[in-house]
Amino acid sequence: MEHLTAARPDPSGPQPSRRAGLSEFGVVGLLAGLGVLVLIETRQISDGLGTMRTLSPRVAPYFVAGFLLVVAALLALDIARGGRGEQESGEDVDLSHGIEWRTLLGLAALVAGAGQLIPLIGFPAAGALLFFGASRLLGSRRLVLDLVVSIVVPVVAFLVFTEALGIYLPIGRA
Amino acid sequence: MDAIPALLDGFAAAAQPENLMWAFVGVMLGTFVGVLPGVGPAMTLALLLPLTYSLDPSAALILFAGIYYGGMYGGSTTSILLNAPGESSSVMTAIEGNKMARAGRGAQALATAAIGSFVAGTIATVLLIFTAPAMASFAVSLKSQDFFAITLISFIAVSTVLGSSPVRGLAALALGLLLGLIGIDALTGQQRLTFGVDSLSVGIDTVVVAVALFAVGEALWIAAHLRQTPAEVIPSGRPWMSGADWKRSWPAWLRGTALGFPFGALPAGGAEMPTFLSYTLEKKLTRHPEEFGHGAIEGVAGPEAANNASAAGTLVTLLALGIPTTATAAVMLSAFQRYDLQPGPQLFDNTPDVVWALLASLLIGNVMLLVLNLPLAPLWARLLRLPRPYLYSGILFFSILGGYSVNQNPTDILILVVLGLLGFVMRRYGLPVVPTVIGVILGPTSEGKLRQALQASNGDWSTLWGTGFSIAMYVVIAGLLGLAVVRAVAAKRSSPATTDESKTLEHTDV
Repeated sequence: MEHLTAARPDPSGPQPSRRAGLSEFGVVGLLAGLGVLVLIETRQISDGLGTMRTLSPRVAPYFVAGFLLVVAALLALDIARGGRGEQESGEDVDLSHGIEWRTLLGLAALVAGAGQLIPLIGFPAAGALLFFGASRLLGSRRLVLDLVVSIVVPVVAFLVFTEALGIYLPIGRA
Repeated sequence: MDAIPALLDGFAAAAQPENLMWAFVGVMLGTFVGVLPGVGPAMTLALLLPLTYSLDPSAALILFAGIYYGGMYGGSTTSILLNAPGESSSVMTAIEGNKMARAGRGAQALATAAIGSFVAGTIATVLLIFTAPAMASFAVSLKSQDFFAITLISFIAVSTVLGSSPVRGLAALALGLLLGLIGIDALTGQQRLTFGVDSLSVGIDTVVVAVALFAVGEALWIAAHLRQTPAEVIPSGRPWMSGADWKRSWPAWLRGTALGFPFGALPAGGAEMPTFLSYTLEKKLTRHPEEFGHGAIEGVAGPEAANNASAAGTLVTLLALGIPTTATAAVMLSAFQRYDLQPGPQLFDNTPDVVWALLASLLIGNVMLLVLNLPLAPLWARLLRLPRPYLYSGILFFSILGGYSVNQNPTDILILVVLGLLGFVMRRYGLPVVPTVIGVILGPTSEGKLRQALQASNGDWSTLWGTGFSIAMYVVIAGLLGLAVVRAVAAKRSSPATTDESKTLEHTDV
């Protein structure tokens, strides 16, 4: 398996430490929590008229709730017996260091914020903010080039979509 | 319907200058985006889907077909020149392909991949053209309970057969089924699982789900683990092959095609199994066993052909049954649905012009790919050096473009972020995203078919196993579940401490 590890600077990868194992149970919690949530929400759905002879709208949600709970239990069992999730690798992925929380949360906030800004300042401006912020967060430090790319890409994309393809995107309230 | 005259009509439609242009644009863009590191075929399709919004159905699907084949071609270039591919379908190509590139035979690896893709894609598309209508006319005789059983088999197969952990596959499926339930119940018009949020009452658009899980989730995952040293791109010139290379390649192409097409058409479709089998087969049959592990051309030719042939096989199930079996097929299905085209048995009768233009343009697109990509390969290779901050910022930018243009609703972008973070968590803990996307798209179909079956039987559940076909399906499902249990138990016994790299791949090149 030499060729595989050759892609990674540190072939040892993440070790199944106790703490890493514990965080696996977070997925169990997520699945179980969603299962309970679906159970509660489904109780508010009424059977409806004319569903006597076919499937009530409650059946599928109850089934999914049960499925989530069963899978949560099976996953807990798997983790307790030493099973661990296989982290995704890739061309640009280096699993030898931990998660860069600042980058992750910063990018998520940028995308969410840019989305809310689209109706206000228009798609090109919101897109440029997102592109510039994301490039900087990802470590680009060539200010002029970053600015140029962050403006050119959204403006060109905007023009192609609106002018050439006829898809509406807001330009903003000026 | 007779396939040949219908196909000729399709060619006439696809050969109109405007449609040829869309095929060309699709092939170029698909390759361009597919070459980018970290961007697999499913993400390529999801990101480029908005391009088709304003086109008429034929043009949109022709553009999409070009993107589909182009994206797959681009992925193989990445795996040969850059090593460690992101998408599972290119894993096998990468093994020998990257070794060849390192040994200075990158041009030959690219050539056998490109020509092999063309050969396999063409043969498999012809097979598709003749099998899909036949399968559709068979499927017309299937009843609702049969289709319900088919959806169940897809769920189980996609979550338990592929990937390294059946439990995690099922967990991913459960999440998808949950997302698919959100919105208005088709029968009673009630809101289900909307938690009082207004924007959720119309349901979560499948395009938003696909972009979130494939593009945003992937970009966030890579961004949080971005390699600091730039990836090594192996230089290679224009693809070409010697006579000896040709002689070693063509049998491998044909064998790869023979493996890829039928596997692609199975409910547990996708390229993982056939590419793996093709690699193993070529390794057994080769007259140059000493080259395997050091860059054997058969090891690129076979899996790459299997990869492309399985893509065409996937379309059989998608077009004739309306069942997506891979991530890319799931995104394609949502594209069809946008145009109110319902893939399935009636598709060939209801909208023959669209389908046959699509099939003809798949053949045309294949030729375009070959003609364009042999000379353009060095240009594509330069894309691999794109600065990563721009690459991943660009993916996020095009994600909000795609997510926003679906409904022009900023709330969709919030959903995009939440599901993108879910995609991140799934990548961290080894939950495959494909079952989730299949669950979102097929979950409502499954419920609808179950309802139709119960309506027809006046609420008698025994109708579900009332046909021979459905019984056969349940037997297969039981077999798949049994297999999953055996795998889960066996995995524990062999090495309880194994955390990653337990995929089939590692067992191949001992």
